Amino acid sequence: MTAGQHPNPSTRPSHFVVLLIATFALFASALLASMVGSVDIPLSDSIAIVLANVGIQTGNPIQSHAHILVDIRIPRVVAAATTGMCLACAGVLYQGVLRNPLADPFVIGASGGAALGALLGMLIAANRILPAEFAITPTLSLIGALLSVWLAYSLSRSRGFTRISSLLLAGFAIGSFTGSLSALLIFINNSMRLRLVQTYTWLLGGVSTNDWITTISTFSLAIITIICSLLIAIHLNALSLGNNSARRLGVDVEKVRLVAILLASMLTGLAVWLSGIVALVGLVIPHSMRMLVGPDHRILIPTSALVGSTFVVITDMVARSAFSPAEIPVGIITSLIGIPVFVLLIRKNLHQYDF
Amino acid sequence: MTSRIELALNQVTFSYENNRILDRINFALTTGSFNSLIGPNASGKTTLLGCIAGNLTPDTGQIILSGKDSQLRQPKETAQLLAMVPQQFDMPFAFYVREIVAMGRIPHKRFLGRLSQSDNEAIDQAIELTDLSDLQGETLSHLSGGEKQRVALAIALAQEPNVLLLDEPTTHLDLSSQIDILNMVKDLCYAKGMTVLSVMHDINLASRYSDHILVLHKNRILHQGTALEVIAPNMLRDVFAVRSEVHMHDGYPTISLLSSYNSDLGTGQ
Repeated sequence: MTAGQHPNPSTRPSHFVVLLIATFALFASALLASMVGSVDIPLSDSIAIVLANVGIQTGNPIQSHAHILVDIRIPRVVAAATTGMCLACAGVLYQGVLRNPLADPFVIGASGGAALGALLGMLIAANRILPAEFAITPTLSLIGALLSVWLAYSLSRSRGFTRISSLLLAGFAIGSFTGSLSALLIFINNSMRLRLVQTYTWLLGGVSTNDWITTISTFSLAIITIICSLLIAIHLNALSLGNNSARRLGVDVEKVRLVAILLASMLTGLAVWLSGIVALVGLVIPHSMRMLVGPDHRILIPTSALVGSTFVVITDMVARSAFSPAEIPVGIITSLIGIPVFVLLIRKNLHQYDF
Repeated sequence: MTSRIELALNQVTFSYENNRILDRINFALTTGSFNSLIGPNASGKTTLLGCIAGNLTPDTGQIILSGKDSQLRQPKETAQLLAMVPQQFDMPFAFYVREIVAMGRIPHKRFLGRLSQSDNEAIDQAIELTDLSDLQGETLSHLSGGEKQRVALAIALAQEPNVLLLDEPTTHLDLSSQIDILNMVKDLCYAKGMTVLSVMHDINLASRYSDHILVLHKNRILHQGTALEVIAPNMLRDVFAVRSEVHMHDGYPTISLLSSYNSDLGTGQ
């Protein structure tokens, strides 16, 4: 095969242009998503309301629109964006550290563990076992994600080697098991059973609307976590050469792996806490971004974050407006898109990984 | 030629699950020399490279790299001085050849560091030396075994190390590629003063290319010296259990295998 048949490194799009377009797309989709819904808010009103909130009066938007936009839509759009960027980056990190393009938070069972943790947290919070300042739900969500990944990884590892088929099976087992435990918890607990539809909608990946403090704090936490993961990006690149080769390049492999798994689980925990199990965003987005910008984590992480946000903002908008007034959980839509991609990826990797 | 010691092992011992794999290994390699490590399967060759490369930690003993105990060096510092070409490697993601070779610069950079002028020069040179210029924009999955081996060598060269370890660099290669890669490495010894330690399967290639040959047998260095000193029917009988004739060809001792002591036990006694 001659070199001319394959793209040269210089043919990959400029990082600056990609990031610029992705940022623009995110803002455009966020604006669109805050206008569209059971009540459509015209663009002029949306802009006037947003400007009014930063102290610039430009018109007289309808008061109910202002309430819908500021208290419901925008926090929801921010929650959807946060969910998308968390899941896409968690996918990139898990894939990098496990050297496996199929390692999505949902596929390897991390989301399921996080959901079980979050449910336990909600129970503890509802029963006022701990003081409210102690953010028990997100904490348990993170711990649930971590424990599941650790379990999936240890179960699938033998003689220092992780077979992809074992990892997928272990992930499936853990996902199913935590899913059943979550269902059990919902049904045996009176308060959760009473709010069955609500709880189940969240579990299936329903972006919930929160107050501004929660929204902003989770968003900031996600941004900080993603910036931290950028700091290990070049080491994640080295890990794709294999652990021994990375070590010989002076990379502290154990530390990088631990940090990457912690960060990815933290992102999974945050996303699940906000929006339940929004499946396969962490698979679809990193995979398509790798085709666009290449596998270098220094550009893959920020691009996936931006495009992952845009993806969930748009799918969430579709989820709440397509069957209006019925709202369907966004996780259902991401699954419908993600599963075919997952199947294609398995087909493509069949030879490479010797199932 | 002034003979400075670049890499020295002093009583290095390594065990794995109570099995001794390396037993009091001693040797010293001079700067700019090509050294071959030969020995039968399971004699501990790859383990020995692993210890020198820092992937494995010896139970006891010292590994002196460029004048300092390598256990006292930071891994990054070691990576600036020593590189290794593994037997084979693969990438789960579609990095281009040039991007892969650029990873050899990681030990020379800060964590977010962009490639500097000197980094790019080192990468260009590594790509040129390994004849990969036409393949820079390929992904690994499109390359043949020999081309992949050259990529692995290029990463190591981009590190600009003083010491280069090779683990059976010719295993997956056809005859002409074997000669090409060994010529390439031998040139580097002379041109850049790089010290090479290579695990070799082919005794005749080892004889032809090495300044110094180390024979690892039953976890110990049994013989070491020049090809003339080391390659002899008795050594081949004791270490590899083969009956052979050694004759001089082109100034190098060359072996012809006659039979194996394992398959026709007794006939050679």
